[in-house]
Amino acid sequence: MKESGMIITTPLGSDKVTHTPTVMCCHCGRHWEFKPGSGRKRGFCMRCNGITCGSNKCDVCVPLEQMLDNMDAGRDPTHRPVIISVPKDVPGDI
Amino acid sequence: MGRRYSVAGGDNVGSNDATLNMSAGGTRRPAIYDVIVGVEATPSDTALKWQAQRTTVGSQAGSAVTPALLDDADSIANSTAMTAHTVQPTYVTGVILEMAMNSRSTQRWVASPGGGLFISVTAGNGIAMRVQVTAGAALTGVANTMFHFEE
Repeated sequence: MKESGMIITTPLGSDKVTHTPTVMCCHCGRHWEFKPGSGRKRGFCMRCNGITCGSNKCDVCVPLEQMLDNMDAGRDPTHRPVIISVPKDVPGDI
Repeated sequence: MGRRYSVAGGDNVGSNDATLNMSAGGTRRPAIYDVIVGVEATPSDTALKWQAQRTTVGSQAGSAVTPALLDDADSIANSTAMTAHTVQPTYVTGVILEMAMNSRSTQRWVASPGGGLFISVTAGNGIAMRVQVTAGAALTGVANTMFHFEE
């Protein structure tokens, strides 16, 4: 799992510095400690190829950049432009 | 590399109040890449929970903090910051960074390249670091937060 950050702390009663990796939700930008086996349900976005935080609102693919653009534009946070696939040249009279 | 700045503030540990809120200025999109939290009050075994949460334009009031340049060659920051809130900022639902710790220790979160806490460019949109006591001894005093950010 690709780390997106690190929590650095010195536990009480110890002189050893601990480093705990964090990962980031590719949709809302949330960071959390990565703990395999914690039991927390997370998600994975096949479109972004990235991990999501598991929140219901992040089940819909709205990439972080798009979400920030939506905030700037005052749009619904879940807004995403319609993307269509065009297999060949579009006729000029459409 | 973007322009880099530092901003710090502190507030009395209350009921999940913001210790520091940083907001975009409307021209450049900021991203926080380094967060340090600690407590300057008399040491006590108190469990604290820190949460970073998005904020929007609201009626927040407090003491303005001017971001300091990390490189003297840069221009002043477009972003603004506020601490010692008398009126809390308006929070957006959802926590984007959470850390729990004993108040005797200090914690630091550092982003990997590209992994910062990004803020939209709209003036007033920002991120606040909130703190609350979750268990342990009573704690009276100031909790401190420092952000390093680029824009």
